[in-house]
Amino acid sequence: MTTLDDLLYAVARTPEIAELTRRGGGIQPSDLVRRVGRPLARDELARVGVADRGTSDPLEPASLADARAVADGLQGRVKQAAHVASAILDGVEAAARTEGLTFRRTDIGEVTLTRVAERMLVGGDLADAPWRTAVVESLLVRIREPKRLTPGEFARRLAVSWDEEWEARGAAALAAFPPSGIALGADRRPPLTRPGNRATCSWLDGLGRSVYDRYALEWRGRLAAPDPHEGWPGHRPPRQRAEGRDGAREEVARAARPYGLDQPEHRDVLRAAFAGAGGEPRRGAWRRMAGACRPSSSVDELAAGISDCLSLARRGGALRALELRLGDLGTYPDLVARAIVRKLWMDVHRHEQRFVEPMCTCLVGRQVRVAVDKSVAEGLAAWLGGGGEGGDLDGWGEDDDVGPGPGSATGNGSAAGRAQAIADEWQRRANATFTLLLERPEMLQDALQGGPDWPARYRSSVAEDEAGYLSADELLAYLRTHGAGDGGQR
Amino acid sequence: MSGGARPAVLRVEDTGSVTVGGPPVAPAGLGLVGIPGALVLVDPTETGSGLAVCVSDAVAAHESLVELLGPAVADAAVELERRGPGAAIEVPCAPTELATWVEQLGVLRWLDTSAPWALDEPLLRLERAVLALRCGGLIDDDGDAASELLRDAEAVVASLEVREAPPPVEGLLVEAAGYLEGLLLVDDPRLDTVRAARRLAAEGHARWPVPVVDVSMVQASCTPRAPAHAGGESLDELVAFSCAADWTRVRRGVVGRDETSVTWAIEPRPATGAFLSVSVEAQAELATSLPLFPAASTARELAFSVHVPGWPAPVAVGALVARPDWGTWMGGVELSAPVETRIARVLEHGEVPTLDVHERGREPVRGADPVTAEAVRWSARGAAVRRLATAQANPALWAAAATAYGRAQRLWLAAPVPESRTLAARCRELARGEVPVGAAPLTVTELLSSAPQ
Repeated sequence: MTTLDDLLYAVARTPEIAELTRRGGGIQPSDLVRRVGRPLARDELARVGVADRGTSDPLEPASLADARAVADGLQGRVKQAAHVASAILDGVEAAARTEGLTFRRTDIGEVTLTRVAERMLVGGDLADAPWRTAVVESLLVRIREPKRLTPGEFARRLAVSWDEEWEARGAAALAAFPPSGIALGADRRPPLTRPGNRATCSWLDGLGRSVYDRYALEWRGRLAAPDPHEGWPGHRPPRQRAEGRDGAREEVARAARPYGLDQPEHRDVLRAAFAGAGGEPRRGAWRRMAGACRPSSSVDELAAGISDCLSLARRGGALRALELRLGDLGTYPDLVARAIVRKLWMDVHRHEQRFVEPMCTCLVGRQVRVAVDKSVAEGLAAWLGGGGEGGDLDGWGEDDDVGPGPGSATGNGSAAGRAQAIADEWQRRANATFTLLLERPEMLQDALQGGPDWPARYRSSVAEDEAGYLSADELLAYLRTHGAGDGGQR
Repeated sequence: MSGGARPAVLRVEDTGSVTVGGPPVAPAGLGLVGIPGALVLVDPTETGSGLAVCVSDAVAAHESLVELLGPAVADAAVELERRGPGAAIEVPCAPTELATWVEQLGVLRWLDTSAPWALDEPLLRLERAVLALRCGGLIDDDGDAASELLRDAEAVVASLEVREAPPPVEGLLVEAAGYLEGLLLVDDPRLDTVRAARRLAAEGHARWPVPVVDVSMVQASCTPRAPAHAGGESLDELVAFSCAADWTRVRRGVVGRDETSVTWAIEPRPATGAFLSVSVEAQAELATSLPLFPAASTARELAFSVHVPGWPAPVAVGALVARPDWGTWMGGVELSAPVETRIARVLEHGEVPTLDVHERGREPVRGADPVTAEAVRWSARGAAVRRLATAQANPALWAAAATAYGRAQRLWLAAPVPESRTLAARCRELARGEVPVGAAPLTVTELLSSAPQ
């Protein structure tokens, strides 16, 4: 199933060209393929009589050798295009500086390569000074045009709208659909732009990202892959959203909706993911879910499928390797749920930015498989591993709960003193409680068995000094996650 | 890694994901690198011999797989995904140079969790960002790498200007400056400085001998030391213990990583009851080859919990406070009478209580097994040393690796996990050098973090 793109990427990765793109300066390998390699290759293929099948479509076996020869033969021209584009970018940069304009070279690398390829296709002289000047001028026009808003522009343009949206709908949505209830993030109004002390944000942060960072997601990513479910019974490809819409304003409106999403079906996917991550696997549920394509399915069905998928994934691969290092993944239900929910949020959010209709079940199934087989391992490795500055558990470093115990609010900076005081107080109450449990072992058994009336019995046992002990909820949560379980492990 | 095609087996797992090369038997753990639709699983002991990949969305991963392993693997993954669980096929796999970089990134990520000794943190950060950006859009989180690099832009420039970094580090700095050139706004005042520094650095550098690994440090890290228990079988006199701080509950860079970095004692105090004191070696400081980079912030809050056999909850908990002057973390707790009685009973029965050191919020989890954890730690020591031994062809290092793997093998056999025999056998092979050694080079971070200080 080799495609023309495959062959062209191989050309872009040849050491000489890779060295050129690696040196920075705004020329990216993917742009070289799309904007230079493809048009030149099509032109050459037409010359040798190979039918144009689209660069991502499999080449006919009979034409593979011709296509390979054409791609290999383009190496010199692709390299030349990269050099010329780089020189043009130097010219744009010099002119932009004179005019007081600014841009990133990577932002206009692609269009520069397009201009160069167009010139090559008509056999024009790439060294022709008037042509180069005209290209530089056209790129300067582009730089002067509106483009993706910077955080500052976004804030200036939308601060008032965001306040209005939040007041009108956002606060109520947060109360009705608290993100913490599905491990998607902390229950608070997102900032319009990222706080200055946060260098990056990623899918691990869930809703712990600013409205601007959600808006900016639309510009991320490589070329869209072909629809993998085309031709499946029941599959209806979603319609692309129209060009030229106001993505910034749309995102502000979306951020004020429950879970920062427009589509109720997508919210169901996230609720199901949370339930499924901690649920009992139902044998066969995943196969049923992954094998069908329908507009939507119930939360229960989705949750059962996700739970079954997780159970299957733990039999081998990255998740099993992680279990050997971290212990039974079942002891990290909050983090497993967090990884699946947050990865799926990225997928459904991105889908909403691009398409009109919600994801159908086959697309959901595909994303669930990625979330379970890939993202759980990545999430746990990031949250539980990592040295240096890595591996922090929290989104904004505040109160994004990760589990019971005194470290749930990992304080830092100015909050350190407060966190220390909370921890000291927790430690005092915990030691009193652990002593009490040693004196009354039946109470511990009671808690572990979790009968419906044990909290009441526990409370009556500590009634004389309730504030001096862990609450029933705190104790149960601690034992559930951190207790040795069978009592014989330690 | 490039150098001709070799066969690779692809199989559809029960979830529908396609594995390329099979999940590695990796007693020391894996380094994970996400690419679109797939996860690359890097076994640090098997670099240079092909990548193992778990492909969850073969269509989304197709382009990346072509670039990493060639079109035959990418096509086969798409085809197998259609067929469903159980299907398998063997196809020629042609790992590219890009696969080598992804693999090195995986090794750095593995080191970040599993390095048995201190790492040069700024160097680790720089090399990780450069490798991610070198992969040119293939890595999922290259945007984060770009942001990290932008954050360190001034330090990159300043380091290039002073020209004191060893050549491999300077190579990384020059490459980083290249990426910065594309990432900075063209009116960013730093851009001219980046370019000037890059030109200056390109003028060449004196020859530089490849550093030799600090063999004594490595040997010390691989010398088995079992947890100790000194003192009597009662609490009438002082009893002392030593143990390791679990690597998954205290992240790298905070406390020592050997098996006796934690010492604790219970001292009888007739007036007030017994007092339990804890001392943990802090991570030794390592001089960095990038002194102008901001130091990594490793501020952590540490705590401990005390456990006795047969009791599914701690019997006491406490906090640890950093004492930088002494190079330790210290803490203690007064034991209540019931706790003291329980511990005394445990000692009378010839058993020992255990103490767990952890970061706040990373308390020991239910079902975590200490033997498995120790087996992973010894496997990691073996893997880290084996990589150095291979690169430097040093018999003393090979011997140290074999010692560590020998210990790991025995522990895996005793570990209550279904794969224990397989993992033990793997450690035996690695100890004997029966596993072919690939040609993948060491990362700069590995090399310079293990050089004598």
